[in-house]
Amino acid sequence: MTADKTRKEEGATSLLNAINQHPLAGNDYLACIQCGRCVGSCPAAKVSEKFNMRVINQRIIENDTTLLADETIWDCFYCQSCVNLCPRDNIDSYKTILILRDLALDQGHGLQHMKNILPIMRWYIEKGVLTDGPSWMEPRALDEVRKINEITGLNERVHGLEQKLRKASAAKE
Amino acid sequence: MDEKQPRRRTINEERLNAIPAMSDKIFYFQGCTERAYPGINGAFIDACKAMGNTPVTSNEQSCCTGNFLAFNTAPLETVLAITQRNYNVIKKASASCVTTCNGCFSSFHNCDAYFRHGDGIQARVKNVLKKIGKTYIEDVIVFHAAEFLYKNRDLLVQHAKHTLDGVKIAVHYGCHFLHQEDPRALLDDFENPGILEELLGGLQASIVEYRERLLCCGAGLNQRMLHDDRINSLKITRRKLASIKQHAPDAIVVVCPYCLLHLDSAQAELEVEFDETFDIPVLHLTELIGILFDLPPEVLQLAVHRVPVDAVVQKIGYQG
Repeated sequence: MTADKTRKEEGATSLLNAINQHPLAGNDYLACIQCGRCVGSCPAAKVSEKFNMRVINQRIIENDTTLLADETIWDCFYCQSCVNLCPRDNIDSYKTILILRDLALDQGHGLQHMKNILPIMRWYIEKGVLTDGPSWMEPRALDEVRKINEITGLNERVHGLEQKLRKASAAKE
Repeated sequence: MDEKQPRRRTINEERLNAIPAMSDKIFYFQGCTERAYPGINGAFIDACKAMGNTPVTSNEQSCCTGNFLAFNTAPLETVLAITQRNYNVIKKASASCVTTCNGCFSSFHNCDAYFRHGDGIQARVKNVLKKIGKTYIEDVIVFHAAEFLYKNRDLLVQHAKHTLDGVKIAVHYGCHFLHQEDPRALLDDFENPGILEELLGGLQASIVEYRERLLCCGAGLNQRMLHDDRINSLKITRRKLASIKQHAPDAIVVVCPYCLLHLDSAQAELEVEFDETFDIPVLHLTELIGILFDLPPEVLQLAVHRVPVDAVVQKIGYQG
């Protein structure tokens, strides 16, 4: 058995388990009939050499944990065309990418892709709206939003990603 | 051999019936990207007023936030609780909500699908809502302005001061209008949509048929933000615009402020990156309606467009 194959098999259970523990889990990857309709309509597949949703589903079935460090998962355009085109009811590739990216970030992969997104999240946390201008929200309503952000863990999540990104950037330099 | 027949288009009749009439009370949910093109909001509100409807707005609403999930920056509970809080604000005015943004539209409908996801998520969200004195709302339906204006298209024809006779238009629906997690939110046939062609055709526009009609604008929700070089995003935009340019339309009409922002601003980037000039004006549907209604320039604020829209505005005969 090659070292590569061993790594894949060791990671197998952990990748599927991790996917299935995500709050949006529910895909049945074995239901994929490899028809390729998801790829035919996919904008990412038109411009990215490696992005292929059918292959990503296959790699999940094979429990290939190297997928989380693979840059190709950041190529999806989140257009959701594959969701409606898939002939199976229990595969939603939009959710698959969303989950894979969450898991990748948890393991410290792909943090550089958060560079332009985290400052926008700061706008939202401070103003309740995604704008660099002043908030349109009235103060009492904004307080409610801030309370939701705090108790549901948004502030903690954004702060955690900011810290991880800072560390990763410092290590690179 | 038989001539190839076009694929039959299917419309979701149940959803069509549920779309409010112009005489119904509606809440107008305003999106963040629309701030970059204020005419989208202004034209929608003033055109509705001209047709006898005053949409209710509120500064208690926050951003829609559903797409934070796709940003990979927010827990599911945050997104669902914020959505429910906005439903509480909407419900004070009406159970029918209209948005002019594909992002807000899909954010609400994706969340509606996630509320049914099981694993006790509803109970957890209800618990959060209790802490801010809100309740769990199940009967608010969010419609897109494209759906609302389509249903009320006879009124548009009646109230428009001009027609689109002789004006060539390329239509772009945008991914997050056509594709939803919640199939109940799909009005038109996502593989062969036609409501915008019908609506604009009723105003006598010449609709150009182009090969990449269903292709993404290139913004790709956050694809533009994920990669510093933006190259994949720009390649898709180039492909889309090249397909449109072959037909030399007077304007592209979109129904999403984010598609508008991207298609409008990326044309300058494509000139730098690929040395290719497009110069195709892009208008949001409600801006176009505002032009047809002769709404005042201070409402439309068309000068904010990167690619000037003056030529098409003149061709229509605008006298605002």
